[in-house]
Amino acid sequence: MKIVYMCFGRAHSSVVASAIHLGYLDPQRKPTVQDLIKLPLFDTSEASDIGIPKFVGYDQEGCEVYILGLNGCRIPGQSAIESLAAILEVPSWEVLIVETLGAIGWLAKLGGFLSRQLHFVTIGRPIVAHGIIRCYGQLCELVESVKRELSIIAAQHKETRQETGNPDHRR
Amino acid sequence: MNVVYYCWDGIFDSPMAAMIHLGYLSEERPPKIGELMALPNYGRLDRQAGRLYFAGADGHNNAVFTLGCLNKADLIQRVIREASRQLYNSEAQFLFFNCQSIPAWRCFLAKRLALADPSGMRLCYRKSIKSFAKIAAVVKKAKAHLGYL
Repeated sequence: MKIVYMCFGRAHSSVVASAIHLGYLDPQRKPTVQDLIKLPLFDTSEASDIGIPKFVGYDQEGCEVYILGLNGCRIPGQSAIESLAAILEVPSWEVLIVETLGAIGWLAKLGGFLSRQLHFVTIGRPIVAHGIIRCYGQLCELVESVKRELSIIAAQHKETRQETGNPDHRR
Repeated sequence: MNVVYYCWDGIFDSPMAAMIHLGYLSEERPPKIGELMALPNYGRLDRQAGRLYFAGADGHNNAVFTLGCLNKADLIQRVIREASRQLYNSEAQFLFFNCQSIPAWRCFLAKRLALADPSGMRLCYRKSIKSFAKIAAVVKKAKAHLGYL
């Protein structure tokens, strides 16, 4: 299975959510600004990275974790990815797209805009880091809900396989 | 090969191009309103932007799709190509052809008008008939690109 954390510019909220998912950040302890800035992909994306899924690692269950930025076209972009599943005859549960932008507040968005859009990195990066720290709990909750959903999907898939006896059974 | 005709909303221009490509509409003469109304894919106001809609398979075994890209055509194309490669591990090829015949703001108004009143659809049909030459030229170009002509 593949989990895609999607946000505006693939620079902040999706990076932090994927880091929580992969265990690089502790959900029990709020990170410091330095912890966030040390993340390899934090606040580093360019305009040319938009629309391209970036693989960031495997989680404990062996699922592939990606991050993706879709600018202002998140709904059409998500529809495009979902419609591809049917066209390419891949089970729809194979790719789970999670929007992370809803979990962060205005301060992180302001910092992200200053750093990535206006290239005021010195000012914008600490602001976005503080903004992420403020809403870290919501990002952790989001990741937790994704993990719960993954376990439900995995259980359903296991049941379906047992019922059909066909490992390639497609919904 | 997957042939994708795209326009702003994926409701009028791209379905018409797909229907010309598949031979449901003549390449030579503009369609009549009745012919457009009889098409299954044309004028469907519930179409979602970004979603690929299968229109049919042509005589050369290529799948034909329609797509609404709003004003983010480059980004949507990149998402489709990269997602199929990276997320779905597919080597499927997508060829995109722009059949937008009128400016985006007119598409927006046409869709609003059609949503507001069923008689507004007739104006959209007329708009499509007027744009027939441009759309047929795009289909010809697509067929030449695919090596059909």
